Amino acid sequence: MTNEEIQARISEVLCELFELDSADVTPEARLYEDLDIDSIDAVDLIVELKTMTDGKKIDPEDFKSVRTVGDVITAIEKLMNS
Amino acid sequence: MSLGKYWRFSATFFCFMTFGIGGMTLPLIVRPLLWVVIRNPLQRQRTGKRMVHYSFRAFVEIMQFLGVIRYRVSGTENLAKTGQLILANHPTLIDVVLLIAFVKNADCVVKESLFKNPATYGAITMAGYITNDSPAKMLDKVARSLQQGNNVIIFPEGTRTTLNEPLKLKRGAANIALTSSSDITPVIITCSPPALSKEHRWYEAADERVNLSIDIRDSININQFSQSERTSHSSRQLTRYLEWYFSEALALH
Repeated sequence: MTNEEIQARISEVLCELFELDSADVTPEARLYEDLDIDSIDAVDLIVELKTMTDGKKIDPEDFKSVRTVGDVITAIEKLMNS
Repeated sequence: MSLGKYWRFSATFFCFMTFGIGGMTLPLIVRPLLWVVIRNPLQRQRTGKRMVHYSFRAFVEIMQFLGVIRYRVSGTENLAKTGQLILANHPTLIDVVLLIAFVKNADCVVKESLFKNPATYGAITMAGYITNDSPAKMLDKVARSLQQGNNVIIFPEGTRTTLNEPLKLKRGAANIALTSSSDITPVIITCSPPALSKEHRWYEAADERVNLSIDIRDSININQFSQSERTSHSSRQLTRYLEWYFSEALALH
């Protein structure tokens, strides 16, 4: 998967899970403040993203430092290339 | 300052001292006793919960006796079952004390910072209350506690209500209700005149005696909200409903 595909897929997952408008899901968008995704949503998100990374799961502890959509993309890219 | 207000100020101060000192010393005595007498950890925690329940009840009666508060509890018949998920609004600092004082087998989700507070640490650990530090673990713990028959109290606002602002709920409570298919017992707490809110310092005594009313309502059936296959969707829908429910109930008072 290329980085663009990863980004597109993450955007899709976010819109689908959290009833968002894809125009709002920019890399700069902050999960909590701008998109109303709270810590419990993050648990759902981690589970959903697992299907992208062949079952490799983001450590919820690492996810604590994730603030923006861009941070999610970076975390997933890192996991897929590891 | 009027005589009544001077009295209330002193009595409020006395109550806080009592809570602080009691909260630090009682568990020091009771915990080792429980540990010796009851070997089964689950049973010990259950007894711990009951101890906190009775201590808080005594504390509430002291506050009422001293004229700091006047309480009114209605709808206790809605607490007849076990394993109920109780969601309440959160106007004052002492809401949780009142709820635990009147709900049997109460478990509670508390802020992590209360774990570090010496006045509350003892009671929280003795009763095995649940902290909200890690969301995933918190969900599991609440589900297990409900299964064990505890009545779990959650303040879905996550913190005390900000006066004169629209009520905003976090979605954790809705998530718990949906994942554990637990009906919701809503509790409406009102405080008049407003006191012990986020905007007040704890030692600011009110101009008159504080009336606290606790209204335990008919339960909300969860099945109507669990139709969507995605919990993230249902929890948004349920949270919106609860925000409407609480706002509506509070506007009536």
